[in-house]
Amino acid sequence: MDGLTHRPTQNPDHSVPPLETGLNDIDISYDSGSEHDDNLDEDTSNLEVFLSQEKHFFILSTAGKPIYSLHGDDNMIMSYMGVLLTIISFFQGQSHDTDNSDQLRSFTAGNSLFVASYEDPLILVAISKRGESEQQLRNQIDVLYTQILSTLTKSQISRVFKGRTNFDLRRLLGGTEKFLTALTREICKGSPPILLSALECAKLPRTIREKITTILLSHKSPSLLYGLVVSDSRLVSVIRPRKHSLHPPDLLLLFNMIFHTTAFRDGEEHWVPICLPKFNSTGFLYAHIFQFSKNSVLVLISADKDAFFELRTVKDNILKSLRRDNLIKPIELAVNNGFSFRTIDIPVPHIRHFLYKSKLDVQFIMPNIEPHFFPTTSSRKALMGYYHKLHAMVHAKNGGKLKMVYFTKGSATFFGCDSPTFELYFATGPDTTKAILTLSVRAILAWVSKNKERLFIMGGGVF
Amino acid sequence: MSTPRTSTSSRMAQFKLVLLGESAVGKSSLVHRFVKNQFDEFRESTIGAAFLTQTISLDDDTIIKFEIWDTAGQERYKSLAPMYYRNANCAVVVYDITQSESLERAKAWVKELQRQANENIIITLAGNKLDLEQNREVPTEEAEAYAKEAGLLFFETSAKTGVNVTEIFTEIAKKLPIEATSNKSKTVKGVDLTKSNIESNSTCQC
Repeated sequence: MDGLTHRPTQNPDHSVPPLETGLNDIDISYDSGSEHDDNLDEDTSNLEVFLSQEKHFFILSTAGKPIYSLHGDDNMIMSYMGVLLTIISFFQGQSHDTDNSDQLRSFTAGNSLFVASYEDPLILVAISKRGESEQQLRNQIDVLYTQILSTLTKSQISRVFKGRTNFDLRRLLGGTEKFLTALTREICKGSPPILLSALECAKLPRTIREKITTILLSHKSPSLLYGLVVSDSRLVSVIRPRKHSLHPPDLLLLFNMIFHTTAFRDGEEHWVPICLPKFNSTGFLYAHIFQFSKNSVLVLISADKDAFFELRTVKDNILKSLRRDNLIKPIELAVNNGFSFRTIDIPVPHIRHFLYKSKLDVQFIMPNIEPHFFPTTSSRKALMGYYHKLHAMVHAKNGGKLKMVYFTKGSATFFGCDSPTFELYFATGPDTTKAILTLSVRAILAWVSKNKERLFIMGGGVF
Repeated sequence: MSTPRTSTSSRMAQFKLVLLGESAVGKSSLVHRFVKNQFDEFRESTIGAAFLTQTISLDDDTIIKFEIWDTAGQERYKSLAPMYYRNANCAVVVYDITQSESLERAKAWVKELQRQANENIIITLAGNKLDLEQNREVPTEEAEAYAKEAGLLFFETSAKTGVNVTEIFTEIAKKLPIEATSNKSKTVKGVDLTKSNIESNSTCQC
């Protein structure tokens, strides 16, 4: 069966980012370097708060201009970014060849891991005290980078920095900080889609999903490239041309913009230029975005910026058909109040929560996080933390076909495994024996396999 | 506002309207006051553009339907503006009375419209945020004198309190060429964005 995309399941490898120009010409004595101490002294309490944060993300230009920071005000981040840039540039200076392999990629200081990524003319830095792996942090900053690309495209960024290394990119990003903030918020919560680089689908009976896909296909128009029904960040149905895949990282950006901010949630029709970086990082597509019920949105994407009225008609026709066939209610019910499915629906005793990723479909599923197992925000955050730990352990670079790990922590045992076709992570009762763990894995796999067509979109509608 | 039904005897005309102006001057807030009679103090900035419609009755038997493009004011969207104002019948160019640079930006939009838009386009200059009178930077007389000289309709408005919001659209409606178009049942088609566009460039030209 065809997957939704043909994207390799590994995150893009940034081990050899291109070194083009600029990095060796950095003006290290950038702007207001001398005033920093004063500013910081005035704001000690804030600085303490700033330094006590578990996670930081910084995006700056190679000339040291701040573009984004998760925490802190401008004065504070200016000096901090200055320090980061100096450290990065120092190592830059040490390598005399133009080969990027000598760039500083990561370092630890105390219990903080620093990871830097160079996407000339931008530098992205993640800092974490949470024990995530370098690869996980690199993946997180890649998500932020693709968000910036989706607003501006790679070519536009190169163009504005050409001959103006001091350009302030925030001028062009105006109004989209909320998307970066929404992403960093999700990352800090331990977002499974970002950890697994996979999409979540709405759980729907096969016949309902097929009906919706058939309706989308029957109303497609010449300019339509992709059509999606998405409900509460979960994919309900998708149609696409045979020769173009849809890439989960692109869809994650789209879902983040739609469901983690209010920008498109006002019942109006929106026409939005958007770059889907994994599809094409140099050009814009145009998305007609329309929220048609409480949690659900229809997204129609075209390469033609003048296709609004054509897609508007497509939208009217699709919604007419969805209403006629009473399909809107089942979509809403599938995700009502964030509902997914429950661990008790699965015949596996003691399982408290799990993540299952189908590598072929680049999709994952997870049950609701049950409040009696995970009653507080911090217990839910801890669960996601353990998933990150398991994920890092089974992805540690030492080969092997099927890798399994488990450990007991407090009142729960955590298990993870990575196979060629799936990844599975779960939390179960304390001191569970190996034999029981194996039984649990088998039972989950059997349940997933039995419910495959309800849980995953197998290829979507292709035209 | 209710949407009057078209009776057989009434005239119905449909017009394309575009809102332009610097970011954060209140374009979306004006449209929302007009279309939904709502105001949201913490409205987020528009991404791309939003498309809305609203119908008003000018008199007992004249109904005007506005198809409104509410555009985003950010610099990066500038090159997309022609797509929204091309063939527009009317434009509302908005500035913020508490930000004098926003009037300069509005003047640049007026210039661009007069040069490149439909030659019969009716342009209105709207100085928004009248509720922030205490922070005013742009004197009424200055903007009014400019509007007169440039041949624009002029209003000072407050999307927050609703002052002069409906008035803008009613005044525009009175100026629109209804007679010429009212005989046909479907009347004027305004901007046809489905037509191919000569200066079509898929990427931004900033």
